[in-house]
Amino acid sequence: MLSALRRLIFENAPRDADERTRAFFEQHHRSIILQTDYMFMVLMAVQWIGGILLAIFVSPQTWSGSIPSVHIHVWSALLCGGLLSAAPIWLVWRHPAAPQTRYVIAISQMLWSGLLIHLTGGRIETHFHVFGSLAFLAFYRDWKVLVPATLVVAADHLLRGLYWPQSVFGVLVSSPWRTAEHAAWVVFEDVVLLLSCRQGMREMWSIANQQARLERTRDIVEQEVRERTRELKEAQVAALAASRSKSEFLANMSHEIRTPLTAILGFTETLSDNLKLPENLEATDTIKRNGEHLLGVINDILDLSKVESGKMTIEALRENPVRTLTDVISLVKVKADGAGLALGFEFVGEIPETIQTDPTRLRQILMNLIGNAIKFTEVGGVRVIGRFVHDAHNPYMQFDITDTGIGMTEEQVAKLFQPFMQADNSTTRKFGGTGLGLTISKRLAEKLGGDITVVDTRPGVGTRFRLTIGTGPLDGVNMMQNPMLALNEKDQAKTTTEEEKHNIQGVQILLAEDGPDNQRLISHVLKKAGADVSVKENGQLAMEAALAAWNAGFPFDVILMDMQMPVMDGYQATRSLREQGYTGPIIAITAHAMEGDRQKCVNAGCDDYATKPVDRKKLVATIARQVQDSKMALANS
Amino acid sequence: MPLRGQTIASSPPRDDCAEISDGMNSDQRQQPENPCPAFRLSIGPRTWFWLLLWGVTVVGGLGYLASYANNPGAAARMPHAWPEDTQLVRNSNGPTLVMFIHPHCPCTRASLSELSRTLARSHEPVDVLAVFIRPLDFKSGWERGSLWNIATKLPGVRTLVDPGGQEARRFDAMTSGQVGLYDRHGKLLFSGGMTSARAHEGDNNGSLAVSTWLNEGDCIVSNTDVFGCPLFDQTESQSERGESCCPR
Repeated sequence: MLSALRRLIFENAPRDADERTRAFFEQHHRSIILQTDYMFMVLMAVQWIGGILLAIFVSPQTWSGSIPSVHIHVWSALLCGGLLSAAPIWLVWRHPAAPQTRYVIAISQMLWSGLLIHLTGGRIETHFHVFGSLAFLAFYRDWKVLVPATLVVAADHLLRGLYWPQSVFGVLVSSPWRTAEHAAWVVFEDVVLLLSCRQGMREMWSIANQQARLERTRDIVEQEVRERTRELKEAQVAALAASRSKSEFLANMSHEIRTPLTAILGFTETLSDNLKLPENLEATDTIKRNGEHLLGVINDILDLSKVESGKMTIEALRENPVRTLTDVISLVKVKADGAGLALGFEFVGEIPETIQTDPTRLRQILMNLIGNAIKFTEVGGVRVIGRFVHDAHNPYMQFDITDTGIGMTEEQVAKLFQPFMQADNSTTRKFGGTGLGLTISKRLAEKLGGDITVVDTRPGVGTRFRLTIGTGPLDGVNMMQNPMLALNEKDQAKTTTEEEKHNIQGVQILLAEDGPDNQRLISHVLKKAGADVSVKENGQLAMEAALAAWNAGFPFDVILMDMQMPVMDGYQATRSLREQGYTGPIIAITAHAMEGDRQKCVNAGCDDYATKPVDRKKLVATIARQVQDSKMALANS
Repeated sequence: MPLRGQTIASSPPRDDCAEISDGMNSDQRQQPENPCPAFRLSIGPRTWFWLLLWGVTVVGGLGYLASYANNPGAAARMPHAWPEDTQLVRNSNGPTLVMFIHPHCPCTRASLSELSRTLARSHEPVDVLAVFIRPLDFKSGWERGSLWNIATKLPGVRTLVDPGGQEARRFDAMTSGQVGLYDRHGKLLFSGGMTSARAHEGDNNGSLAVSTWLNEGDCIVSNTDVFGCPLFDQTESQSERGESCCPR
């Protein structure tokens, strides 16, 4: 019974409170105790100063006849009050939140009540200090603090009752009921405050319990997050590894497919030169066409891979947009003519003479769009209209490609720019293609500061695609009123110059190439162009031959260096040559067409770069340019 | 103010009583078997010694103060009949209460308060003479302090000045707050103070006795202690009374 009552009144901790709940409770309780300690510390100082002022104000002097002296109340407030306040302040400073601190505070505070009552001449109002102090002590939410406070009141009454009974009740002999009444009021307040403490403690336990639960939940969530993060990291590592594997695969595929294709296409062309029968020429043409298609597919896949991995870099060169379109039209015109389609183009309004763009990628996009238009048009024709749109902040070129082809439904348009998607499967069967062209073109157009959109399409009527690309800054760029006329004049002058440039008659070339097929093919191409070719099977031999000729005073005019070779690869051979002071032009030939390969070759010391399969004209032009540059540099030095 | 131990972490530490988290996550922390709350600090024996000394000193000081407050002034042997040679005029139709007051005694403020309460409770009208003593070496007006102002505001109270304390001597009053209650025949009914301690308001035997005398005409208490400042210089009063020691 008693223990149940004790638990009801004094114990507030839930029976199922765990360790963390207790820790949170004690932390909260400690903060409340600290706060209350500091409040009492301030109160003690205020009471001391207030007591002194009160004594000075109410009873500064006492008199003995005509002789005044300082009243004992002033000394009491100063010394006794100082002592009363000093201990609690010191304890709060040295031992904040210690139980002993608040017990001493309780004792001191109740003694302060006595002193203040004394200083005010026993005014009944000052007795409220006792009850106020008890209530203030309840801020600790520690019922035990009320015990010493109550004991001080009891002891005060007991001692005064023994020695000065009139000072408590005003009479020498008082009724026991007066004593009971005094005690009852204090006990009443104690009970009220005790219940208040209990209520406060219960609330604190409840809060602590919630905090502990919250913490447990947070721990679980943190654990979950750590787990997921670990899994994500593992997935990221795996994805990176897969990405690396994919890149390596693509690079290897590029090399492994392009190398034989070089031989296939090259020798097919060579073979065609020597064939006369139409059926044989048709057969070699089929081989060449399919080889070129295969090369196109590989290029598309590589392009898409680069775009999607964010490794596609865009050059920013000055280029004539009219020339670009004209070049593309001249390339696809054969195809249009073959299909019996009319292919026309025009420029509307003023066109800037040059724009800042990546010419290769712009050609690629136009080739794809116009090629598609021709491919999907059976009757009618394709028309391209170019115009310059002078947007104040973002000027751009606009190309509208309109065909009279099969057109598309809305559903087909919706999935048009997704990889490996054509209008439908039957399209692939009927028209061929990988379904990558438009996806790549759209991504490239975005990279060039523009976009590709379907402006208009109707099944059976035709389609109009719109390509836009940013022009970059146009400060100081001439605007052409009649761009076609201006282009023709320039072309005439340029053709003569380029023909002169592409002359490699009598040029001494060292070809470093390990593949016998490619040795024969490239040698054949170069010899046919009039060059003298020496072939070496690996980098080591090539380096030795180049140095020997260099030292003998008859250096090769140019070295064609395959970068993938046994014994010593092209990179190492080139580096060695440069280290030994070789300054002649070195052109890298590689089947690697991935982004960064060009830079890798340049870093090794190459002057230029050509990819397999070798484009005859490009290769000859590159050699001619390098030889020309080399001669000019020699003359200048 | 930088105070030791004044750290309230947002979450209580889990490893021990340390107040600063070690930065480890919950899995890494070692769960204690018996966490000791940081606020259960112990106080060393030296502190206990000083606290004990403090307690003794404080109790001693307050005890001395209580002793002083409850130590009455010199008791008067007031004449049992209204003195013939006094200049004070007694009411021949009713009781007369005379109180001798030191004008600057802070303890007498409580006596005047009690007088006020007693008069308020009295059924019978009583003449009250508040006699303010002024030593001869003080100029006129010295007596008109805060006590004078209080007394003049009390209904039925006449304030009088007693230069040199002649009247006080005639009534043998030695302590400020000394009261003498005389009936209409000039017979002394009660002599003493109206507070239970120095400057202490509240119920007391003196007020009760005066009230009883006035309302019921009889009371077993006819004498109480007086708590207040001496009306005369100690040496002067002792020599007059032939005493040689301090007031009891």
